[in-house]
Amino acid sequence: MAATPQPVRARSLSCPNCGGLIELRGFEHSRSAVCVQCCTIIDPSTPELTILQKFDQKLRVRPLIPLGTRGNWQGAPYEAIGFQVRCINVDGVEYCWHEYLLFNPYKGFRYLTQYDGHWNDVQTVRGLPTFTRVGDHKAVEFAGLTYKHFQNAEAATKFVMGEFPWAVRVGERNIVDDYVAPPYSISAEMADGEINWSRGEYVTGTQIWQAFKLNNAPPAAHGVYSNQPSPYAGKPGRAWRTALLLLCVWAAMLFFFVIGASNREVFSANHHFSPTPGEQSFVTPVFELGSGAKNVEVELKTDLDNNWAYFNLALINESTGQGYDFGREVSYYHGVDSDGSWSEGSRSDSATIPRVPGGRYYLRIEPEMETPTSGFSQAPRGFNYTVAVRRDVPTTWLFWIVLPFLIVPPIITSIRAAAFEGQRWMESDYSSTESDDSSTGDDDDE
Amino acid sequence: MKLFSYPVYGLLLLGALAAGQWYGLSATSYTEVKNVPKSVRENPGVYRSHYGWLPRWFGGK
Repeated sequence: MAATPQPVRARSLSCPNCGGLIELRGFEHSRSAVCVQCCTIIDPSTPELTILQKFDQKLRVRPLIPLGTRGNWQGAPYEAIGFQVRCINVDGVEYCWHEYLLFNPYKGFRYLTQYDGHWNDVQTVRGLPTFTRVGDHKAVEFAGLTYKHFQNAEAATKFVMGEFPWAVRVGERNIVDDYVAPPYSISAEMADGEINWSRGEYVTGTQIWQAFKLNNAPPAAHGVYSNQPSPYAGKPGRAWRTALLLLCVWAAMLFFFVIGASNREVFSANHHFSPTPGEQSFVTPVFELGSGAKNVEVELKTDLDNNWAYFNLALINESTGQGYDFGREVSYYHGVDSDGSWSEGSRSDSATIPRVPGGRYYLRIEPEMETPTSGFSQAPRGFNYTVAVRRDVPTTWLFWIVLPFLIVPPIITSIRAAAFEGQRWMESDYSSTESDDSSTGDDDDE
Repeated sequence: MKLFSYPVYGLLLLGALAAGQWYGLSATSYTEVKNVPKSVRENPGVYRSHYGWLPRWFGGK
């Protein structure tokens, strides 16, 4: 019968400085422990409990995960035994993050880091990443993933609490090189000629709060963190692939409707119009429109020159009396001025009436144009024009209206994805706002 | 909850396009008139276009 594992109990020590109680949860792994009463760091591995450092109590920071809190994290029970605050200084601005040391006697140590509501589950790497390059970024490869360099900075320890498997000191400084491959990151910490690699995975505060059964809610995440997975990851590619398919359907439909249209001319006649007093309207001979409810295009071609004309038009079914009234203004002006030659308008125009039933039709045409009203205006000379009627013409205007709506979503998705990545890299050594500093991270330890 | 599905949106748009093409959406503004008098053939001035902002049926000359 398997024995039930007993809960591990913490060992207690008396602080050699103030006599306060120091609980040791990391057992023989602990190389330093902090007295919470007097902020004295001791070495618990020495019989006399050597004082390693005393630091200013004013720096005291309250951890979000209280030390001694146990939780089931990544499939194993872990206890928070250490807490430290570390900061980097970039252009005179201090950025600080929190590190929680988790311990399981059988699994060892792992860390939870928190910056501005963004959390990472960090473990020391067993193995050595290999250096490479991705574009203008230096990068490392590890376990099949390529991590792009993000930032190089000197991190300083500002506050410690609990116990650590190394002789921790407030004021301790390390050069930190961060590489990212969201949701993962890999960091090299250099101190005393030694490089320690650790790998982080972005996790949410909610996951941690659930695992450690913490009260209240985790702090809200602000901004975009270096290895935060993009909510748009892969979406632009998928959206553009979908767009390509939809555009193929769009093109096939365009082809179908254009090729499928018979576009047959059923009537054409040339006329001359003079703006004389009296009735100007006339009707055309009857023409036959084939069966089916197809469209009809009436096209007007004129020889207007620096003038306009308006056509009142009616397409009338001879037998049913059903009519379609519409109008078209044709105007064409041109000239030369200080900017050079210019022109506006067009000598021709057309109108398309949809779903006109088959039958015998004629056009009633009533042209108008400016008539001379005073001796100052030049009397218009009239103009020649051609009227052509076509049955079942291809219309494509609706296709061109739909087209931008079809490709707007992938454009928006791509812009959003780029904006998210832009925000991510804004905080890096490769930010576009970063000047010469970006090269600093590029020159190290390659 | 996903509120927007691009493939569904795209297919709806293409469906609307196909329907618009099939049923003949037109950019031309026109007025459909019933029972145009047959006398228009002989006397075109008897008819005035209904097209425009205001009804312009004058009932012939």
